[in-house]
Amino acid sequence: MSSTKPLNDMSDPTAWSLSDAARALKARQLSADELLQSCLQRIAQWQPQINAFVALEAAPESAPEAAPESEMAMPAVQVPQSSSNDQPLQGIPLAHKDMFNRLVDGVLRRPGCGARPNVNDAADCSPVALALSASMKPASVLQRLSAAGALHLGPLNMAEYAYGPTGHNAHTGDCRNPWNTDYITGGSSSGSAAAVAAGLVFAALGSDTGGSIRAPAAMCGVTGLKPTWGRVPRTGAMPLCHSLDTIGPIARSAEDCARLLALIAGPDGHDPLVQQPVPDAESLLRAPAGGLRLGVARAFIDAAEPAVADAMNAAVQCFRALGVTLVEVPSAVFDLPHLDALSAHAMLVLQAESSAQHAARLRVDAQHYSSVVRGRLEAGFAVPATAYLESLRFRAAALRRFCDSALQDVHALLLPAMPITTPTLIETGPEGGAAMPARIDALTRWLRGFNFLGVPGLVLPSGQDQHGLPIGMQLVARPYDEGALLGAAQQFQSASEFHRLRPKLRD
Amino acid sequence: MSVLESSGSAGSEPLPVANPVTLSAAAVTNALAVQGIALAPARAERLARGLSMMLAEAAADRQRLQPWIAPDDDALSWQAAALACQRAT
Repeated sequence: MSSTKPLNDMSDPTAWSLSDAARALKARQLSADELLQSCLQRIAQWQPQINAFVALEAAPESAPEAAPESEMAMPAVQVPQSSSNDQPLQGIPLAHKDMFNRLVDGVLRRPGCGARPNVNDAADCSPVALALSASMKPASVLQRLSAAGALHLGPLNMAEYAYGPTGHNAHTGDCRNPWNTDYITGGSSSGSAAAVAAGLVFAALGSDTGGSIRAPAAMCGVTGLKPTWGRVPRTGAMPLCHSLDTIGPIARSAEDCARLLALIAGPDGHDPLVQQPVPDAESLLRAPAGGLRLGVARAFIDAAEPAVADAMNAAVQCFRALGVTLVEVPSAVFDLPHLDALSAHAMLVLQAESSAQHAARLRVDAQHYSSVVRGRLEAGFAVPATAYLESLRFRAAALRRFCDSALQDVHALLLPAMPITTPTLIETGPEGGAAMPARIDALTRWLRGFNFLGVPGLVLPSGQDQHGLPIGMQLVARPYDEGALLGAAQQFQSASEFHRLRPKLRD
Repeated sequence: MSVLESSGSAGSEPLPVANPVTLSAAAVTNALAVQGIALAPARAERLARGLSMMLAEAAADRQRLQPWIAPDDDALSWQAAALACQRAT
């Protein structure tokens, strides 16, 4: 596996990809402490503007002071000196969505989950413990990244209980898009996408129940992978909807996502859903024998806003120039109504399961939730049990139909991540007007149907809109075929620069 | 009161699955009340409209794709279907 481009800015290591940073550390071009210092400096500059972190938990003794407006404390913890340099992520600064149980100095810390803090916030009385009866085990995915040598700088902002697609949060403060802080990051993995896009960390984990990795990746201009349902163990992670929840990486390139997936996926002995072994990163990025074939979902491109359609058509041309075989998928095979129907099933399952997950707390402490999340949770109580079970029963049939039709003759399907360009915080907030509900629905309308199918999906940057906000395209493949997505994305990124663009700090 | 009320045929005539499914605000309020959740009237109205559309869409989709549903499909068969749908390498 090789980098698509040489390290092009030695003066600012935070501009590198995770893969480039790992190679530089291994070659001793810089030390882990120097790398961490660079990230902390950048966090101090950006955090007051984008609110990506909830807290910082690891910093060297010589950490730079935060900007005056930042209230974030920087604890003095050194980079471990005893670790071997052979570990794949040795010394790489990461941070993750605040939904994972984590060990800090040997003590288990429960996540905040973007929720209202409890008045008596003892260790066993955290929002997630009270609401969800969650596991007391540390998150397997964080344990695996730690074993690979990664540093975890602290929990990242997220939508309240991962139940929101915009990045607004009434309790932890809204997360803001690094490309323009008037705009949303997307959610629910808002801090993950914002932190990676702004160069605060090299990658972050998020979760995707109805588009929560892919939507913020699209809006922040980074690469986000929703693996196959059951590919990555959820042990120690906050549950929202068992039948749809998927943990995955957000990073700056397909190569980085492949490296992370290879580390976090596979059975952990605790999550019974995870049975399949995962290939190594090199295998995940290998082009399929006979060449890559992509299905172009034309109906979705034609239905998107002009800026999105233009970016998609340019991406199709790029793939064609790379020698990829492109097959137009007829509307009769896969069209907007097909995905809308899958989306309706996803919403039925999401609402029913998330409401059951929160039922005990909602009955006795409804004020714990913001009015928006409370409204979403209330909806699930009115979903008839038969409708919920019928949708689950229909799931296997829908998957078979999708694979035998839309993916019949191709490795992956190509469509926009969203039909619209990224909206502002105001447009998607309480002052958003009559168009606000439809605008919010559009953020995940072309994403959540694939959660119902359980198939893997990947979003990567493929253009910019008239305001300079990123535009994302989506690739979808058969179950357990993340390799097709990562390979296709890596080919695109070898011939494009969108994933290398960086937002600039505003004065 | 039943939670689901069809606006289609009445009496002993069979109800086509794809008929519009309507969920009244009162039915939604009752459904939540029996589960210990109190609901403001304005919320009930909005919720009933949204759920009605979603339920109708899912029902129509199941009817459209009925030939694809195997007799032994259930919630657990997703794993079997996923393995069967894997790309041959």
